[in-house]
Amino acid sequence: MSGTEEHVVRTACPAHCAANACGILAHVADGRVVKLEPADFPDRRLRRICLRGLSSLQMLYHPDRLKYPLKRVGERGEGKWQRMSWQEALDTIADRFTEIADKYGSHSVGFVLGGPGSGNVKFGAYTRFASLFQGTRVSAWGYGDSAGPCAATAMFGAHAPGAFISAFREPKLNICWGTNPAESTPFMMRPLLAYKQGGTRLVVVDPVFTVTASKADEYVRVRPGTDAALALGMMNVIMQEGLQDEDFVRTNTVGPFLVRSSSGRFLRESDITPGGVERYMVWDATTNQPRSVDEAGVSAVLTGTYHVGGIECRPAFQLLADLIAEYPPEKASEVTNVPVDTIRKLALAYATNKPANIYTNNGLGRHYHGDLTFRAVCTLAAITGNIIVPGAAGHRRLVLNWDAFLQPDAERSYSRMGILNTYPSILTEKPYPLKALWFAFTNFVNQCADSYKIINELFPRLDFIVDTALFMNDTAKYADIVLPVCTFLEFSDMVGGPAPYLQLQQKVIEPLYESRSDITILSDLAKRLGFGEYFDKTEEGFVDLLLDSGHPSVEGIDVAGLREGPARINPVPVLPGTQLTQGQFRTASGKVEFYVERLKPLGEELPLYKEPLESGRSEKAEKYPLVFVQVHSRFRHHSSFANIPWLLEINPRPVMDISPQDAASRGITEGDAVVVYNDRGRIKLEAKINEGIQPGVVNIPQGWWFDQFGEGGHNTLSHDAINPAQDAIYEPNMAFNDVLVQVEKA
Amino acid sequence: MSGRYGLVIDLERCIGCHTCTMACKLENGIEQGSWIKVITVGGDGMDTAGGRYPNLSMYYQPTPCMHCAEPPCIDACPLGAIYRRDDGIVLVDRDRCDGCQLCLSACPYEVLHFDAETNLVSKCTLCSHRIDQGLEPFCVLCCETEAMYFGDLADPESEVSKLVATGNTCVLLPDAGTGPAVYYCPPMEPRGLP
Repeated sequence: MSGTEEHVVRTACPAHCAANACGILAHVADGRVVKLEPADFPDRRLRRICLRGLSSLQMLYHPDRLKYPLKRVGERGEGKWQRMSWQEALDTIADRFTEIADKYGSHSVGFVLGGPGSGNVKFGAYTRFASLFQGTRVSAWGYGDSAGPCAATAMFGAHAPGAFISAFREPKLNICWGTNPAESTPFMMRPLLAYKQGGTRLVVVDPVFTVTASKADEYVRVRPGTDAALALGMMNVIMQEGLQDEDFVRTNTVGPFLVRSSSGRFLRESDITPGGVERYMVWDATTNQPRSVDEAGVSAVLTGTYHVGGIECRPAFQLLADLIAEYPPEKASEVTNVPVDTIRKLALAYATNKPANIYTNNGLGRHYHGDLTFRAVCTLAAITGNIIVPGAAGHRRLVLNWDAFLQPDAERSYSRMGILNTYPSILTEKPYPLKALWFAFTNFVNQCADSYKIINELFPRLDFIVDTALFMNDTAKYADIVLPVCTFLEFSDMVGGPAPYLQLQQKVIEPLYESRSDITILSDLAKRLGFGEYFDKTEEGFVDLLLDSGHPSVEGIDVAGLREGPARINPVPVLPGTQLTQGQFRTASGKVEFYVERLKPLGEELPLYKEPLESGRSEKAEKYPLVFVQVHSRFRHHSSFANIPWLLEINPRPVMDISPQDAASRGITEGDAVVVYNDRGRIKLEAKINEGIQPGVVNIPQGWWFDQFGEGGHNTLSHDAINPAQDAIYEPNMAFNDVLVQVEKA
Repeated sequence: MSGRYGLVIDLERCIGCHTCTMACKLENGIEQGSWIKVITVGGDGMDTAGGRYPNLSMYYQPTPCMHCAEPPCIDACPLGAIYRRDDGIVLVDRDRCDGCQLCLSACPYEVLHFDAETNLVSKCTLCSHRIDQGLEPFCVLCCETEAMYFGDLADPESEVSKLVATGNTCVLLPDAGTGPAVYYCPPMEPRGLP
């Protein structure tokens, strides 16, 4: 580099690894980014980068990047394109959106976005735009990530279970349950391995022997999708041994609340006292009388059957205990294939090494009943008191100016629709038809359930498709207009993390070719649609708007400061009267609701175990006997990075992991070409024989593009079944790991 | 300086992420290949387990040049193109190398690389250009799990010397008599449930 002018810009990688961005120093010489390295933090342990972050340069300078706007001139998917100007592209989009809104209503125009962690302003700008247009914001959670939020919404009144079950600072035991941070969120391994080397045992529960499992003191191999039965079996052992934390259950959960046997509803004072209020009732052991839950001096019972004015009731904990009694470890073992002795020992370890953390991530919930799985695991935490009560651990709140940012005009707002709900919306026009979709930082065809249904049934019913993309990916191929966007090195945004920091994803170089940032594109389109005054800011201007919440957590933080380095979110004491009152969860009852009253009509008021929809033990398995799971690989971030030469050098093509037993019975040997198929799709790729895969299961690390398979793509195999309980609580999830297939030698 | 620069790599902490490989490519401008490779120790293929359930095992071994005290590559090179600095770093003089590749077969660690395009041999320099500026090797800086330690093995007060002094380290192919400057902490044996 000698003889050239080199300067360094601090930025952050928004690859959305659990919304926990790494700080990056970008070296620029003669206008070209020549090197990336991890940026420092006041806490040196937060200085980090990964193989994807380092190879981002090859995304920036990839020869296949889209360089100018394109319009489709052949049939959709035919691959015939014509270059167009930005002016023509934006004029066309504005005209088409207006036309479609006039015909079907403005909500028939939907914006399908990737995760918010990939840039707050980028994500927020689309939502702001959708509000002003009164269109539909299609939520990203149901891409496989909504089961945890469903459970946390129901049980904790919060979005993520992790803050409650895996945030103990000095755990005596760590369990990674259905998550493989060593590949998907590698920065998590620093503390996990530090705990382990400090003496804390690490347990990994996973259907696949992952990299994280290879670090475990005990690897618990579970049949896919049966984790709830394992949790119930553990609870059975805990109850048998009398190790449940009854004080915790009584104080912090709905355990003592009386439930009416007839309706399954909590008994309220108004049910028994004319003119009474909506207070929950418990049975007081001292007076042997029903009492209101918040009455002083009440000693609430947790078990038994009681009659209150002729109404038969049981405490919610008794109902849970009845469910748990159905799962002695022998039965749990039969369901999960985990040995009885392991279930017993794991249960005792978890109940007696307190506090114990259970680390989960969204993989735990990627089967049809994933919300029940999360609820069962969180209930296990609740009955052992392994839950952090709000306020107890000094929750750090970050309050950004989201409300005003996302909805700048109180008169206009977006409609929200879960990503999986778009399927019936398009096919049956219920609750209303989506007619135009705009895809941004997402690869819908590749990464959503049942790719062929998307291509053959959903897309033909859409009048107009826009995609903003870096590459001509499998979704862009079906668009009517494709707009070239920037990589994170070419525009500014704000990203969260590593906690407790905020970082500026600072523009390092000007956008290459004719690419533009999503924010710039939306600003130019807003002008054409008559709400340009809400988009009159630069990217950094929007960051300042987002920081302008007036909340003490972000006091003193602005773009100017963030340019120099990360800003520490101010610790704000948890005050009575705020949403996070000491000891109060944000549920209707203020308690951990392992019993979910509103799911009684669906029969899922308790954290039941239900067999996966496409179970290896179902009738369907006679035709398709293998459960197909799709783990996340370190070589990609979903479908991003799948085309990066340096990563392809190490991990060149899709492979399917199969057990030696299932390979042998099919005459498959290492490296053979195989086809994987079911009624929905068929893919062709290479077999890799792996002792770490249990018989009856095959694994294909997800994110590869269609062109990289010999035929098809991994999500041609998955299905779009909607779970009604998830739909009722929050948003239905795509059950990517609840899929039956057959495998044959090609 | 005189001394003995080297590495200690903690295999318990290594998660086989190949970040060191990417860091090496980026820092040293290597388009094809890398001077540090991550080997799966387990099954036959990358990221596959060895053994049989429930006794599965897998770990990773990042493998750079060992910067040996008695480097067989130096003895093998007929042109004297490979040399050892006073600080222990073994380097290839690209002006002298004629691409004969005798060093490749002499190295028991298989960490020398031949580039057909340039007809030259290359290898890990321990990022000597960075060390000369007082920086650590780039792979050490980037290691995702802080599994790599760099320092002077001749200085008993250095972190690497202290790690070696614990007795919980080993070198690859100790019988080869090469005296590697790269030490490994072996992975921990699973302790089971508490």
